[in-house]
Amino acid sequence: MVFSSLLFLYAFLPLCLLAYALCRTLQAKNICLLVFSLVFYAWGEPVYVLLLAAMALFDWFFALRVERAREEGGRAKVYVVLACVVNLGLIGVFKYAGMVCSIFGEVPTFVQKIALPLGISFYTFQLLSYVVDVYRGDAEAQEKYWQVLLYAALFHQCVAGPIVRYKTVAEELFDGRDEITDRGCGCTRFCVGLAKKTILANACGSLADNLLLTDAAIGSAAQLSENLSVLSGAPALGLWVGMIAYAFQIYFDFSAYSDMAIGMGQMIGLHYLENFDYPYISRTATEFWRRWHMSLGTFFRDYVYIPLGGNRKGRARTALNLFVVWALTGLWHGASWNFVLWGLYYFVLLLADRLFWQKLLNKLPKVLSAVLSHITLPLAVLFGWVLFKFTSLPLMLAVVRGMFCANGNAFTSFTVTAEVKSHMYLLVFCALASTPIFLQLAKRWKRAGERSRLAQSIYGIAANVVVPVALLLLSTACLVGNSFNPFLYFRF
Amino acid sequence: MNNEPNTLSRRERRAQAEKKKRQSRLPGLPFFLALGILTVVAWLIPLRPTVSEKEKRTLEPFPEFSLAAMADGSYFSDIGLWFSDTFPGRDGWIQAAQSLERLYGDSSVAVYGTASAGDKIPVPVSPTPQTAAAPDADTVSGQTSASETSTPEPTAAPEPTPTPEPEWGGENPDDELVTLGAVIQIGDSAYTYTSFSQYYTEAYAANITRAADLLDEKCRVFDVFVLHGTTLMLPRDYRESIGVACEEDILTYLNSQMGENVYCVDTFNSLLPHNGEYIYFRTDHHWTALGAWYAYAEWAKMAGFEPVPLSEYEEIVQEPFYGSLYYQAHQSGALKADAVYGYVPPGDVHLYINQGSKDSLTYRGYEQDLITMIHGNDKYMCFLTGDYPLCTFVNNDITDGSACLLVKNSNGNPFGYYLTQHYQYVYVMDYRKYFSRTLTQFVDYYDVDDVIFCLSSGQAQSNGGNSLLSGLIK
Repeated sequence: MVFSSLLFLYAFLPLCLLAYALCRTLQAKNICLLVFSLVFYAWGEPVYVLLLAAMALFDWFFALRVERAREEGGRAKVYVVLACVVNLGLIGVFKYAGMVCSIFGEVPTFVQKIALPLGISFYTFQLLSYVVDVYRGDAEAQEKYWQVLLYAALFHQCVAGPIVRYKTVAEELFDGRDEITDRGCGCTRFCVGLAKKTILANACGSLADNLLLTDAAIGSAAQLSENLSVLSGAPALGLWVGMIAYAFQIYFDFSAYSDMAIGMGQMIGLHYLENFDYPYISRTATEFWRRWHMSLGTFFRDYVYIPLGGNRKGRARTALNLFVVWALTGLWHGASWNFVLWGLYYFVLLLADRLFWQKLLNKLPKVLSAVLSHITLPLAVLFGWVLFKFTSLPLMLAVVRGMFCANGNAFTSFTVTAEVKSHMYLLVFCALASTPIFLQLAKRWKRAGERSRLAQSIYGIAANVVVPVALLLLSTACLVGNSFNPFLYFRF
Repeated sequence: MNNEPNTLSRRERRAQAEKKKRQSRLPGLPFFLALGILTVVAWLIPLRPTVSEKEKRTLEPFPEFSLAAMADGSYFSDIGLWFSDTFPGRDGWIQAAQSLERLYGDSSVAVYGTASAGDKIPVPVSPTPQTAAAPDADTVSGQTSASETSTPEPTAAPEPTPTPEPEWGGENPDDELVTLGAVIQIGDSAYTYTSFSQYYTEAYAANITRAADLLDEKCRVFDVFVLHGTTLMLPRDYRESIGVACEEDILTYLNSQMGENVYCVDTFNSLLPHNGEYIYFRTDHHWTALGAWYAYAEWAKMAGFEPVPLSEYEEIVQEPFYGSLYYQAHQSGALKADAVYGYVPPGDVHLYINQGSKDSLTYRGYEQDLITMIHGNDKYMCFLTGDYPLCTFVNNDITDGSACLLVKNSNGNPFGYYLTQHYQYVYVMDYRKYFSRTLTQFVDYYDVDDVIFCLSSGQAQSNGGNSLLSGLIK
């Protein structure tokens, strides 16, 4: 089940909220959340819910053993290593077996039949971080298995993130929470996320598919020559706008899901860390990754980069550490070489940042530096998305060459111009929505409201009544009868 | 100041606390209310539609339970599909979404689907003699004009033995939308993105020529090649600029491939002077009954008849009508609804519909109103009530036993009405559904004087259409 579906909106969510409201004690509320979370997961993955439960069981056990070993002066590291082996082994089998087999030849049929369990990359990392945090003494081991299962399976973030650390939610989840204060904000945040997904991301996705190729077509090896011919002949304007639309789609898609998760958490007093901070306004690749999928970035920083020595062991070692982190980041996104390439592309960009690019920007006059960096970074990210979207190298090259009319392709065609014109306001709106401009305006309005009771009332009505209800209704309209509603990050 | 709270009574303090509690609950309330109301509405099963008339399809049914479907998750995903596809007030929601989509950009021109002009249209070596001048019907194949002849009442011929099997292996020609491809929306109208297939154009020409060869001594064979609205309603230079195939060139090439014994009606030049009139629907891929009339008038001149003016017909208007292009264009709100004009032929004319697989002179099916009143959206079905294997018009005012056969797809439906003024019997055969007799058997059995093929450009250039014609023309 996806958040941006009518069944979720008008069956699952109200039922869950109603049942939750009827529970009196914290334990009852948590049991209610667990039951609904398992139903939510089993709705799409009736069999793999057992895998989720089993992995939570392993990690519950390992965390307890780690804590006991630490207290008794035993070898806690053994259990951490075991937890890593089990977690990474399972994700390896379910996600990467096909890719590994393909290195050595044909992928066996039984490997081809292994389906990717929903959200395995997210909940595996959450469980792993839990065991490591217990080992480091940053978190206490949870005595009750069902509570570890609740942490891993909580439907807000189980299938698509953000990757929530145990230590950031344990207190609110198990010791008590203020369910009232941020409820209104949570509702508004949820509706904003829903609208980002159903109105902006889906429309951009549809435009990208029209101007480029659908993911299904790209994924079909049998269609490679046909795809190559289509992309080689595609007008340059279509390729540029298609890639821009894809960049907006992936941002609004993923950040929308995080918004909805954060919003639903706030509705019941759970506070998850932010996952996106307007990444497209970044000036460098380093800044981009501080703003994009922050929970993944901090996970790799805390559990891979720093344990490897970070930047404390000389330039060469720092470069090696970065290489490992970015190869893994790429690999985390999918069992395909283009994702590895995409990760390593960022490794190169980040290395360039450290070696000369940031120094160069600092030396330039401020305005020139700002203009230059706000042109180069979006372009670099855009070419990164080419590597991300197209699974085969010939297709990537055809798109990049085509963007500069190097395939002998035209700059535009009637259909491309018509398509672009019929979406131009949408793209402009998406560009604005990728910046904090609307947030700043809202804040300014709120501040003005502090000086005038009338303005305060209007702000209150707009923020708590008009915006959430209008966005809910618009999103419902977009979802009814809409066949284009993919969610990109589910496949990770 | 510090003692101020103590000056409040316990009741006041409780009231304040209650008020604070109520206020803190207020922010989420509108959302929860809206969510609750919509949830109740969503679960009012009687409000859930089961059919979409605009989209011409049955909506997703509630899935049947099976353990296998449950295990692989498809049962649950199908429930989700049913839930969203049959959401109460579906059309209203969709309309709201379309209004929102109009804000995405300048939607005065939009292309839906993948457009391709197809093959390059070859230039024929010499112009086709059939279209250059209207032949004298009396001199053709030694026959006389059907209206001037006095053919005796047809006698029953022996029942045909083998029933021809449809020989097609491509797309389902029932589904005309398959051949539509991309759609371009300009202002309040939508147009099919026309394309050209040399292979199937030649195959179609070969099929019609074979029919003329087979029937050479028995009757005349006409071809009324129905062009898309795109060709008639948009200027050529504009069509060239947007990369659609120019169907007037396709028509010229097609006619150059036809045998000399085929009478090709010029459906381009006969309709072109009237493109300021309502000859094509704005939201549908068919021509209107008025467009069909102009083609009929051209045919009548070619066949040696005096076309009967539309003023002699009774006009029946049904609206609103949203056609196939409306759906192809994602139900764009920019498109303006159509009205379907039907024309009831003058005289003692009756229409019989045969839905079955058998037909004979003694069984023509059930009688139907000439123009059917359609209560749903699909008002184009007012002509012949849709596409049935065989429909028969009988004009009791003509008693010479004259008969013609109209082999058609849905574009031929309004065309058939005009033929009633020249023949006692007009047989309207949907070649996609009629498999009882071959063409020659049919002509012999019903003593047909003229055969008219009336297919759309898209179907004439399709694999499935030509395969079926090959099966029929024997």
